[in-house]
Amino acid sequence: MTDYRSIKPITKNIVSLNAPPIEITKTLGGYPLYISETKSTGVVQIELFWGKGSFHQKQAFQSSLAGDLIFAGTKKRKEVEIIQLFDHLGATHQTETLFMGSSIVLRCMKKHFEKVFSWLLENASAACYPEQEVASAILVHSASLERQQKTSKYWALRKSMEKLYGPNHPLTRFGNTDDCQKINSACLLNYRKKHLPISDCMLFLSGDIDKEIVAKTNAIMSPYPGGDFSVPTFQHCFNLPIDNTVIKHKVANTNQVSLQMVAHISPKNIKEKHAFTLLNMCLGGYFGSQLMQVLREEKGLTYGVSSYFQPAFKDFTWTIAGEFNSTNTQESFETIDMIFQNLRDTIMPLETLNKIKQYYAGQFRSGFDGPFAMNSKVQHLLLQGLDIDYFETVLPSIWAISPKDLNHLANNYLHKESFIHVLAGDT
Amino acid sequence: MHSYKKFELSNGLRVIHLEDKSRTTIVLNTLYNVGARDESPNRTGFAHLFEHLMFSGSANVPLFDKEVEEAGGQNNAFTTNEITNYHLVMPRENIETAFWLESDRMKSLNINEKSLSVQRGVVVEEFKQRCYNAPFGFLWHHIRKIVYSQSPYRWPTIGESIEHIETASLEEVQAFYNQFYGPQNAIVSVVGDISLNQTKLLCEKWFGDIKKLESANQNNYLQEKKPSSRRFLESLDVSPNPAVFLVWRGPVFLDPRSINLDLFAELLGGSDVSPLQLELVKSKQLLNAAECFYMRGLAEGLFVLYGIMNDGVSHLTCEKALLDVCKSLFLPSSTLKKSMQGCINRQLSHLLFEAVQPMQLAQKLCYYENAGDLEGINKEVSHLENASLKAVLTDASATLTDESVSVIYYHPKKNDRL
Repeated sequence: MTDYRSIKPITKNIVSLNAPPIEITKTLGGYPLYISETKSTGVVQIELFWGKGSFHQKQAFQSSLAGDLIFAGTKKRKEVEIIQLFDHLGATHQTETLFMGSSIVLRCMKKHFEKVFSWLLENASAACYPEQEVASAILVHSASLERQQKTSKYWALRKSMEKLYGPNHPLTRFGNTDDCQKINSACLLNYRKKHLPISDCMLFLSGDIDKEIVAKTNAIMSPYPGGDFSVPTFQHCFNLPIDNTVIKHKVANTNQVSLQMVAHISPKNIKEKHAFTLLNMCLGGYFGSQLMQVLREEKGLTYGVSSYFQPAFKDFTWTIAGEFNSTNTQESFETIDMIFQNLRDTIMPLETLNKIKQYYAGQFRSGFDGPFAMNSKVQHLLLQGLDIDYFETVLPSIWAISPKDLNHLANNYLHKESFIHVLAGDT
Repeated sequence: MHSYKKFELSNGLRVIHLEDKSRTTIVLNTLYNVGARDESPNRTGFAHLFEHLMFSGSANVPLFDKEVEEAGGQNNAFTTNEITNYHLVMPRENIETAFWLESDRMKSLNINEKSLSVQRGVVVEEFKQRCYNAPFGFLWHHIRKIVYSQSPYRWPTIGESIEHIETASLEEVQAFYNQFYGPQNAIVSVVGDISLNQTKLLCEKWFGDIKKLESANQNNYLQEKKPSSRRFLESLDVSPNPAVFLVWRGPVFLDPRSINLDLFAELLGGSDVSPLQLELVKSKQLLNAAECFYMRGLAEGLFVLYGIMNDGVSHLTCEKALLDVCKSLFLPSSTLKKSMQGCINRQLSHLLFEAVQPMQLAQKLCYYENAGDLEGINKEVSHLENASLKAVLTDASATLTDESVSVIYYHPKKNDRL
């Protein structure tokens, strides 16, 4: 008799998303407003989002510190007073600055929504960046950067990006500790006024949202005339000619090497973009990828190696990164090259491709679960200039990609000559 | 309130079910009552190494991850000094695959020399990445070494040294599996869009025929007395900034005093304008980072308070400043009373947000059950609402004493490898 355990349960393919339609409305004052899944959680998340980020800064650290110090004080109030009210009401806040976007996210219990949101607007709109708070933040920021600069990972990323785009490119404004010292109250205030005025933001409300909360939002926003939200229209960007010499950067007191390979990718259209997604998954985008399976699970050369895309204007930087023993770097490069070659020379079995598609589909769909998941999705749509129903088209497009499509892509793009190679650490 | 249901299979496996229809995924979480404290002192890091081997296939599943991925799911695991936890997150239509996979490796893990050899290499690289190549990477080695001298809590989960991992043998792996990886030493939680009936059917089908272990882990460990005088350790580190870490031992997870120490940590350093930040980072600018937290554990907790110093600040000045700020809170005041209400509100808000995150919830349900009080998860809110400033300060001042502190001074390492 066959052991029932030897027969694996039947699985169904995840072929569609079926998420609620995305609807961007407006507040009475004209602010774009997105409200995500309503659930009786008793908590509310308020997010103010701007289509401005580190791309718009004039000097390193300007955009991130302008966000981080948004509650550091106004002409009327000190930081202590501002934060203490948030604290007292149990509200937590965080700011995020990306290349193309910035956010202030506040979470609180529903019963405190009105007070917390009013307080946020009142103080964020009048932030003046007191010198003492700026000086203290610079000390903290510089020390944190110094610690980062003791790690191989930091240098592998920095050196590879600088080699790919040049040192003065908007994508390579890494900055050093002396750049921290150049930050002052005036430059942060200029950045806030120009790029983070309340009038330019979009609002995201998620969690336990009902009509009352929406009415309160309209009332609270009414003193702030707005409706000027916009996102930058990015063009394709260009990289420097690829030089195949392996760049080595020694980092003291390390006994591993951080390996990084980067290439600039500019998909021709949405179909090619989806095909890139699958090719990357296959290469190093998840645990079952070839990089992980061969370099980690077969050879035990690394704890982690992966490949991923980072937005670069309208294009992407394709990155392969991992940590290796210094004696294994040559073998690692050779193995990566061998994986490239296999992907170029062999048409992937349909079964293998379907496994990748299914994994991708599962992760893609679960990314829409929960009351707080949708905000970043909507922001992605806006920043990339995609249609409002774009997400519903993703899974059908993914399932339509053939092994030949991926092979064609691999032959066009997966060559070691197309990647910058960097080793940092115990070189 | 979490409306979970608990049931037990005849082989001793405890299962906790919590339905959440709003999700497209279901979490199957499995906690094993085994951690680094169960290792032999000359095989430290073994529980964590074993965690890696749990992904190397079983009798009917040659490639564990491939099956997870083909079902559109994801999985991961972690090991602590006390437990090892595995989670699978599956699309709801493919949840049976998760039961098949998790039960097959509980029943008949495929242990072989090849996978052991590969995973030894992987874990050695993980050890280097986490410890040698990151600022303060050996912190937990130092903390555990200075706080304990005899207890099996004296080494970190990653292991005392790389050599212990490199020399682990196949026989030891098999013995570890036979001793700890069985139904009455495990707790499963299932959270998501699945009914209780369906959960019971799947549990019976896939876990029901797994044989019991000889005995469940009794968790008998050497109880080491708390230090009665200040302990001190100095170390070099890759961090360019010197630092001081202060550590105290405290009460266990289920002891209400542990909640009070958690709240004290929140009072002392839980906000951008908490006394720790305000006085030492912003006002006096002695430190460029300062933090404190209470790590609640099953057999004991650790209160950690640290500061990373700015140029020109001595270790002694930093230690004194940290202790002074800490002690300045021991006396109640009206300001402190107000701050306390803020801490409680923040923690209540945190609990509400946590309640909509199925994976965290699934892990927490297992953790409470393993601690011996599943219903404790529903008492968290009332514990917070009833917390009193007086009790918080009493427990903090009784725990954070000069006599029982363990102190670590970090000095920047020179660039001796350049």
